[in-house]
Amino acid sequence: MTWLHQWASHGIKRTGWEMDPTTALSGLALLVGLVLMAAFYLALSSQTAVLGRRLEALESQREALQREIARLEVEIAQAQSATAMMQRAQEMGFQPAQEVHFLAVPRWPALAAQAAQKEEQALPPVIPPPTGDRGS
Amino acid sequence: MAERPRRRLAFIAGLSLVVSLVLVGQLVQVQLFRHAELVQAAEALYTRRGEITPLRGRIYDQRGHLVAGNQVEYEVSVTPELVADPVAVAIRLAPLLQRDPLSLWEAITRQQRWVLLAPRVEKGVGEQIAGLGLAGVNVVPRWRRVYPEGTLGAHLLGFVNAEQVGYYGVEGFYQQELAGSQGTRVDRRDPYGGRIPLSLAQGDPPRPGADLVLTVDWTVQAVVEAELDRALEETGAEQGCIIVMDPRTGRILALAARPTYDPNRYFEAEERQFVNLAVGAQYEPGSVFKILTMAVALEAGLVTPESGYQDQGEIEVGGQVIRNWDRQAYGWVTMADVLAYSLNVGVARLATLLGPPAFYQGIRAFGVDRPTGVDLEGEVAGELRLPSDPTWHESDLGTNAFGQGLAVTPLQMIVAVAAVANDGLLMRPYVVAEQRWPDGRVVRARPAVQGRAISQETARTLTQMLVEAVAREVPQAQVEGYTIAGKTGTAQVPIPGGYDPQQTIASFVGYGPAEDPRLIILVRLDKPKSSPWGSQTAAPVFGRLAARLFVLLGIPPS
Repeated sequence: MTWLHQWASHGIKRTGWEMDPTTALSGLALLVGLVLMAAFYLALSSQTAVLGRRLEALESQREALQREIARLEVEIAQAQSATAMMQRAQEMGFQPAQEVHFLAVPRWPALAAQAAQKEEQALPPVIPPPTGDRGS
Repeated sequence: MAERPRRRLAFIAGLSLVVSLVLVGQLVQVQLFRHAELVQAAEALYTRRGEITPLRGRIYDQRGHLVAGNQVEYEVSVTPELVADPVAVAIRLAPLLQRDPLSLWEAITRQQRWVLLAPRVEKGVGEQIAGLGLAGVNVVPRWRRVYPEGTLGAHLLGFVNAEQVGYYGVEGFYQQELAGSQGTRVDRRDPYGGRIPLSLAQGDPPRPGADLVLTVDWTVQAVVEAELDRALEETGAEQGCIIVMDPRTGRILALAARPTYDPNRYFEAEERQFVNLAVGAQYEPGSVFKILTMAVALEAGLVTPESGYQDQGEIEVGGQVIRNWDRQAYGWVTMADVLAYSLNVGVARLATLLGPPAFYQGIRAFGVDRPTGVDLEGEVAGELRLPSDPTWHESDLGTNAFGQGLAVTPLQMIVAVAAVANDGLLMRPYVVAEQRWPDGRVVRARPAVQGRAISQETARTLTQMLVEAVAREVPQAQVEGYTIAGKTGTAQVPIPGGYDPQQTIASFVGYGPAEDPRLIILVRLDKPKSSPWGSQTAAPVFGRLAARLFVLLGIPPS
């Protein structure tokens, strides 16, 4: 630290001020500290601003994508609409089935599955309806 | 001489000290004593609290097809003081907003902080305007409800207004679930509304609404609506409705009503078009109601299908003479004949034999005196005068027996007859099968039994009678390969002072296959011109529709 003291003494001598080198060094240290803090704050603020802008951009992007997804969903729904599909089928020469024949297939697995499903979907107990006191 | 400069220096130093003390004092006052107050004022200046409208839940049909979605529109506004060249801006915006440049210029140059130029423009136009990058021109996205298939299913869905509030149908009934909850956003903005990105925004995120899955297959719905349109055109009926339901569960498979409207353009419709004829309008059901009268009589053990009486063509009940529809006497008839020939005298006789308490208790068990509880906004209850009501008259016993002098909605009627198809169990109808919440929860609707109207034995006996009625007298309702149970209805239309002698409400309700009913269909046509009779107008519609739906839904023949 003696070189620092010497440097400070030399500097004070050149200004012609009467000041204790230690005091001058302390003041300088304080000034440097303040400048560093200000610089740090500035850096933090600018980084926050940059991040804030980036976040804003991402939010805008997300909203834009949301809008685009919604638009596409509706467009797909319109293209797959019942009326559109019927019209397209007619244009391709399809017609509603006129004579439909069902073939009974013995021991078809689906029938067993249906029977099992029917048992599973057993209805809950009957709940008596609310009766107002209007009947005679 | 050296004294004067020293005095001046001392004066300047003293003055500087005083000024510094004042400044420091002010700083101390601002930073310490008024700190809280000034921070609050500053916050109020640049902090903005905004509400974020959540995305409205979508509605899908049974197969996952989108039937109600969302699309963005843009609100275009201007901040006049930020517009450098109003003339240029007006000229550039005029073709896009399809407005006269002069009126736009007048709006832009108003002495206001903010001016709305267009509340709703399409996405493409909005993006074009935003792309111009005009200073002072604000383009804000707003969500709008969209129904990709226009009028199809309008009465099932309802509509949503510009404030994202649903009315009628599913949109109205499930408004809370679909709307979600608003979010809030607190961030810092400059005086002109631009965000200051020096800090992260705070607040609560919006919670999107739940998506709904309907019980309805939109292809089935399209088929039903096409058949209804065809029926109205062929018969010349003023209005009508068709309901298709699964009698075992109460699931509504399709519901169509005319008149209807386009929910995308609800603002162009008249009030009457919003009323869903199937649930929101009563009518006197006529002969279809004889099913319930016969059910009550069978359940009470009063008669069997083979029980008979001598029909003389008329009967007096409470001073009112009731005649058969054709004013004919049928001689010796059985209960099966009463349904097949739709004899008013027969059912009026049953009602008088039952007596008012048993009769009304019996038909109330079918739920005709209260709303069904369907999850559609706009349902009304029927009207049924009971003996305890001061306006009830003894003659009501006779007329109510064949469905006149009382009023029900078509949905109440089909739900009541569905109980006969479902071995006597009355089911609550429903339209929404699932609610899918953003947090991953799925709430599924379950079939709900509302009560037992009649015993299983009575239900099956009555079904056989209705099968016989269709086979004998309503060939138009038959479907090749399937046994159909059903009943026609031709009700007079009430007018002030009595009934219209000419006009009728023609209807038919039927279900099949009778041995394992999978479908029940009600067709109602108001004031048909081609013929007043349900057998000639509504029954053929049922026959055509049932034939198509059995195939579409993969229901094998009997």
